[in-house]
Amino acid sequence: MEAIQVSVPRIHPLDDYLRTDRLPHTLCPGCGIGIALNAFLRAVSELVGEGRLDRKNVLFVGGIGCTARTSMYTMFDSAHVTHGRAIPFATGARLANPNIIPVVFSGDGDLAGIGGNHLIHAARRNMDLLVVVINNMTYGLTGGQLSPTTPTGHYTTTTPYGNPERPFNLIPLVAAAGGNYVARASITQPEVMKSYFKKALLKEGFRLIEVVSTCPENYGRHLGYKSPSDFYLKIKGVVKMRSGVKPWDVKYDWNSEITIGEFVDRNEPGFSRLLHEQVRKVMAGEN
Amino acid sequence: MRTEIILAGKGGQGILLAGYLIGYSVAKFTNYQVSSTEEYGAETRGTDSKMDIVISDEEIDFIGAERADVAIFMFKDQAAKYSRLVRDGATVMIDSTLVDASTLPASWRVIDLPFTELAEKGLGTPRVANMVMLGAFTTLGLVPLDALESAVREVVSPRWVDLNLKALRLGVEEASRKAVNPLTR
Amino acid sequence: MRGVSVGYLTGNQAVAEGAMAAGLKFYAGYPITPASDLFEYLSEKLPKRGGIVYQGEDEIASIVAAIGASWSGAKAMTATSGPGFSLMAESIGLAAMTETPVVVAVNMRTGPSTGIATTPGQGDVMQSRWLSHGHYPVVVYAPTGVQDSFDLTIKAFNVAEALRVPAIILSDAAIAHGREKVMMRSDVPVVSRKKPTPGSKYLPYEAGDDLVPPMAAFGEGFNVLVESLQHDERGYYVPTSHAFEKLVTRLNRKVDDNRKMIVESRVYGEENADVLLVAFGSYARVARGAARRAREEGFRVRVFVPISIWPLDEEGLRREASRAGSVVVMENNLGQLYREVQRVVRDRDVGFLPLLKVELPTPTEALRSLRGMVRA
Ligand SMILES: Cc1ncc(C[n+]2csc(CCOP(=O)(O)OP(=O)(O)O)c2C)c(N)n1
Ligand code: SF4
Ligand SMILES: [Mg+2]
Repeated sequence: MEAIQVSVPRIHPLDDYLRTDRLPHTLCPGCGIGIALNAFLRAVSELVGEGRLDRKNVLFVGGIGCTARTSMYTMFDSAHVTHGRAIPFATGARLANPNIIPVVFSGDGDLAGIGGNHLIHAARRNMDLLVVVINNMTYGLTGGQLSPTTPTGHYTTTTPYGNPERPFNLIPLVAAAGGNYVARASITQPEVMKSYFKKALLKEGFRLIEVVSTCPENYGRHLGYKSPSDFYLKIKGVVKMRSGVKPWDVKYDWNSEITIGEFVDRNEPGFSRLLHEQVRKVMAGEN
Repeated sequence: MRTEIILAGKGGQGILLAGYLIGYSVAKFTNYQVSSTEEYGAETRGTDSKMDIVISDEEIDFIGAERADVAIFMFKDQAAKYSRLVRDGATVMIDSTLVDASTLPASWRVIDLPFTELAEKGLGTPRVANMVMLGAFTTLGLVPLDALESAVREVVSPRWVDLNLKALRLGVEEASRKAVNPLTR
Repeated sequence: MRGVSVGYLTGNQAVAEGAMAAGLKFYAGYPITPASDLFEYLSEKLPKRGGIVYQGEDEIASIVAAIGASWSGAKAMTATSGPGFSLMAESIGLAAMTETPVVVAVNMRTGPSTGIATTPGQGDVMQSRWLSHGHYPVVVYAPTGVQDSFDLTIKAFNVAEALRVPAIILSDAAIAHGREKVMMRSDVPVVSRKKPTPGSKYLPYEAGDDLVPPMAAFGEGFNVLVESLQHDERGYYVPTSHAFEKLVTRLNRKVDDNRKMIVESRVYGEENADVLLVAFGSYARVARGAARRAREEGFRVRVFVPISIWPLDEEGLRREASRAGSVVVMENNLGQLYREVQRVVRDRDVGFLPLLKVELPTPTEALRSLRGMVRA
């Protein structure tokens, strides 16, 4: 039997997409965000490998939150802006340079709470953005408070008697607002998630991918999940992959089903293209 | 020398366009400085339409008129309302169709011409009364007629240019017939 | 004159023309009186020059889009008034922290809150400096008329680009909507941000002696990191006192050390005056009118007009103050520029003449109030 050769130093295949000099990162062990970032970077690296994506044009933007912090580590043009403002920042960057491929990668609080208005308007405009909402159903970074996607009844640090509110179901919300692509993935199915990323990265217009994720540290513990894997298994049990489902039939119910799948997939012209075509026409005196 | 002008009437009389044309022609076709303000809020509520114009051969300090040297009143209500902002001895042009000259302070040198009537009878529409007034205004020597004519050509929509130019000339004729220029007297 | 076009424009139009002359490529706005007509004017004109005009869903979206556009290499601006400016608070700090050149035209209206939308105000002097949290740099110019609106907008862009700071044009409803003759030179000096040399090792927040780091744009392959957190030269989060002191000091020194290039002021009237009357913006025009009226009465008023409000021309102000019989600040608030003047002119009493008005006071009114407080 031959001895197995261990290559030293060990290099992760995605190191090329990370500011490795900053590692280790600050995410908690067992956090779902890492799974989502891994799937995203694999999607990018495969597309780059296939010659279908120029990484120089990828702009990776986060607001503020645990999820948004991934922008501190990604080796793209990256921006870690203020809480809730990733979408307008990415919008401006893209409108000023239509070659830019902006990806907003941020939390449920950042994108559906404080930045919720930007979210629906970007969808309405069919703005050329890939928006990834890592939905851990809580405000992870600030210690596990109520989020607009926290299921009813759940215990968080600001709903110690149980959440009396109803949560947002982001899929029908964003589908109703507009956009070319609306899908929900789960950290429990990373390969499916990666395939959504690959598809969405190449589309124009507004694209939303919600990723059902976990925050074992500041959320799972309040819900009684002793370890990250218990929480993971709970999610695995509740998500149901479906195809051919209309967005408004998509469920977001912690007790029965959180539907995952692709629910909107259109190819309408993106706002950026329409706006630049208009400017071109005005300049040429055609408008 | 600084000249303060007040131009006032009621909404719909084309006051703001007339004021704009005065300012535009001074800015574009003379070496004078010019500024204008439309009053905001309380004072011009409802149907008032009022513009202050300052013309000067030096940099203009205050942009409004507080002791107007020249006033143009196209309607009686505004003549009454803004007379406090017109200085003694000012030259005041009124549309005598709509303002009664006998109600005005005696210290003013009043030039009364029936701009509305002239426009109606001479050009078939009261809507160019403002242009007839502008024609008359050029006889005060503050803005040359050709400058105003050029302004009309550049600013007014092409299909109204001829009518407006006619109205300007009608104003010039009527004013010249009326009196010796009171400013140069 | 060759290369000069003469306009008869409103202050808002002149700001728009100045911005285009300075190289504006991206405008984002949200309608608000009295800034909407600036937005509308650019909506028509800027696309003809290949620029982008975009209406955000609110003022936050608009200024943040302008910041994002700036990082894509475009000269960017937004314009607003009171309530909208308040909404931009956090984002002004974002621009300052990330050293993003961006110009914000603010037309002051009457506040607080929704106040009176259409009437000129001067209540935002302190806000224009300290809008956002933290100790951050910002440059503020206050035009006194339409010519200034054109000239100072160009200057604001040039300073924003040269120093990588947010720059504010603090105007008001009277100037924004007043119309004046304006001379627009086509060969205005235009400054653009300095860029890193292609292929060089680039740290986005590493500055040389001039304290201003070169700025790479997105899409140029530099893997820039725009970071709103406290950061080092690389843009990496470093929560230490040392890094904090280093960054905040440098950010603010960009303005402090370049005061000479930034500050501007004007004086009007005779040298040995009874009163030095300090006024800015549209009130500077009132003050100058009052000085003219005063001369007729044999009362000598010299007018000091700060053109840069933040920073002030402190030297000029101190010099002028030392020569006058007395010093009075006149403004349309209860003491904002006044506090700065007091701070600068430490060695003597400064009088304060608040004229709280929803329209411009007349020179006569201003003079009457001034004579009431200065027995000359
Ligand atoms: C204007 C503003 N308000 C509040 C905060 C504090 N804050 C930081 S992150 C956060 C919530 C983050 O939640 P989410 O976006 O879901 O991200 P997660 O940490 O769960 O990934 C909040 C409220 C802030 N930074 N800025
Ligand atoms: S706090 Fe929660 S969301 Fe944040 S890194 Fe830890 S586990 Fe993940
Ligand atoms: Mg969250």
